[in-house]
Amino acid sequence: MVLLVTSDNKNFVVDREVADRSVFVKNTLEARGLSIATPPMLNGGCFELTSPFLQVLEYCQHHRGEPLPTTDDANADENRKRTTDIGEWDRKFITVDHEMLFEIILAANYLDIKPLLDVGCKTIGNMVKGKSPEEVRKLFDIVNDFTPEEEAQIKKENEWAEDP
Amino acid sequence: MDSLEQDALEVLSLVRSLKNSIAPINRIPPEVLSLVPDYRSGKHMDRDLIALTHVCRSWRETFTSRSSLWTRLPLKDTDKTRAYIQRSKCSPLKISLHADDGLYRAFRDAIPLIIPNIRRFQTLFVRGETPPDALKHFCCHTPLLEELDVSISGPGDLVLDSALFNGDLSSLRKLTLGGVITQFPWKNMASLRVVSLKGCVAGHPISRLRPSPAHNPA
Repeated sequence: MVLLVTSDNKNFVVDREVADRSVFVKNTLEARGLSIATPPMLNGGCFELTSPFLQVLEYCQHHRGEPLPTTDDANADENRKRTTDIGEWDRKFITVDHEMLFEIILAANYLDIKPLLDVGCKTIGNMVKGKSPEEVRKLFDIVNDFTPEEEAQIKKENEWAEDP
Repeated sequence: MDSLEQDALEVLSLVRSLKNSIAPINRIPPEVLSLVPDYRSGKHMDRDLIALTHVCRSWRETFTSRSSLWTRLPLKDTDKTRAYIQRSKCSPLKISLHADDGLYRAFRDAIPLIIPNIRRFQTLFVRGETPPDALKHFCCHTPLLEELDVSISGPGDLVLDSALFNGDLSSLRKLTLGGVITQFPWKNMASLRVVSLKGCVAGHPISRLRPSPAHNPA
């Protein structure tokens, strides 16, 4: 078991198998030479995690035991990315408001949970798919801040931007 | 007056950029946000990517500066090809020529742009009705070329001879050929792992492929 402490000082005791979904946690525990112990003799690692931790924990618990993607196979990495499909459980899991979605992506990046980062990025990719720049701005509360010169450049690019 | 108006517009742009910097999505660091286009598929991938560069200034910087997003050269419009070459910086390039008549003309127009970057070719796909001289420009060594797929159905014979890539395919790992004549004259194919010889392609029987005895298991 591993004790994880969030930045708002909440303690979570999780199975090592669950904690190891995070490459950051796994490497930190290994680097510090912490071994697996059972309660009440917990080995602790202190990690600065914020409110989406519960969500991330739920994800890690659901996917515990699944093989982690390796970094040494570029083709597998490419193939994994070249699909916008999201599994049914993951799709339900990631159906959250924008704020939470961004928090989950930030947490997945910080904690180095590649499959969760995949799900988050795919979700944003699916949200912007087929949308015009103006529609994307509306979606994410962004305003057009281009100068007139930049606007002119973009207008030129629009001449070739459309696929034939 | 013009100058004042110009200054005002620039200040306005700056204020808007500041507003964008606190938009919730921009809490995601640029290096993570720039991963989003990796997860795309479908025939409008390019259009979606370009749309992202037209959202705001910071997104434009984020997506245009990630060179690996711009390595699949479109070859359909020279301005577009030029932009992709520029944005891909030094990254390996993926060239795909599906040569129906109109596209081949566009490809020919793009040749002067892509030849100076031939050393960056990582994959080259040539498909469809391709004239016999389609590859005559590709006579420089391509140290990064890992995959070559020439599967054509054009009129006339496309001969792949030793002039192609200066006869050196030392990084090539996968070779797919169909409807071409070749005797595998390349002096260095040490990395080759997969060879696919396609059968009939638009009336060209496999007998038109002439592997050299050294490469023919029979």
